[in-house]
Amino acid sequence: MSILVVLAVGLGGAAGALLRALAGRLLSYDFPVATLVVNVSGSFLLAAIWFGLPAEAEFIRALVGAGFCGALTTFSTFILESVLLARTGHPGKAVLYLALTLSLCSLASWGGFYLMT
Amino acid sequence: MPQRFTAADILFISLGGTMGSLLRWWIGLGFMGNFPVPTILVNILGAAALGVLHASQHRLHPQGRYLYMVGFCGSFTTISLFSLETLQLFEAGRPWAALVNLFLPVGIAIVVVVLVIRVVEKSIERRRQ
Repeated sequence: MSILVVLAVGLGGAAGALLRALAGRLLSYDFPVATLVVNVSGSFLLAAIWFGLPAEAEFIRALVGAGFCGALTTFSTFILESVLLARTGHPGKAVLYLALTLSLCSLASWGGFYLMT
Repeated sequence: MPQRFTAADILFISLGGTMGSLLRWWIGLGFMGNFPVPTILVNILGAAALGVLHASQHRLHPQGRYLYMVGFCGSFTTISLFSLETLQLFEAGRPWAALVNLFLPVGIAIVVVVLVIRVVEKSIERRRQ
């Protein structure tokens, strides 16, 4: 493992986190659309590069995969937003958000896989 | 249109994002098991940490939100790898393992986050009395 791979994960992680924060600013509604959008698109992109790039493309895999897609998508915010929706009197929206995220992200991963294999 | 990010906001988000991503990647490094335990662990731990931070937000510096919550916890935890690993279990002919991997971390994380928020809120209340 080279220092370049460490650098790639860190750099990609910073970029992913910034884009996620930007999405949060641009798409702020009373339903967590921003997190849903970044989670679905990040799941698609990770599956596409995972199956689309050769194993030797270590740097790009680390930069775009572990770094960018890993940081762009978030599990912690997804769970907190679901809990907060339920706690503020919107249990229906909480269940809808959980169901949409899990089904659309699975579908997006499958889409990336299907496209590249 | 909400207000723009300042240079300091951008710095804190990228710093947290870099640290969270590196720690997540390092925890998963070299893992060879047949069930994606590192991702499950990272996601539950990160969700619990975000719950604690959320409940004690009033004591957090405004930019601490960007460093710890948006940057670190947001990037430490991941859904892209989580759903890729679920797909891989499914493709490996292990649909039950895939379903467990999909629903178990979500269920555990919800219970843990509800509990930690309650504990932190209780302890803040007690300190006020």
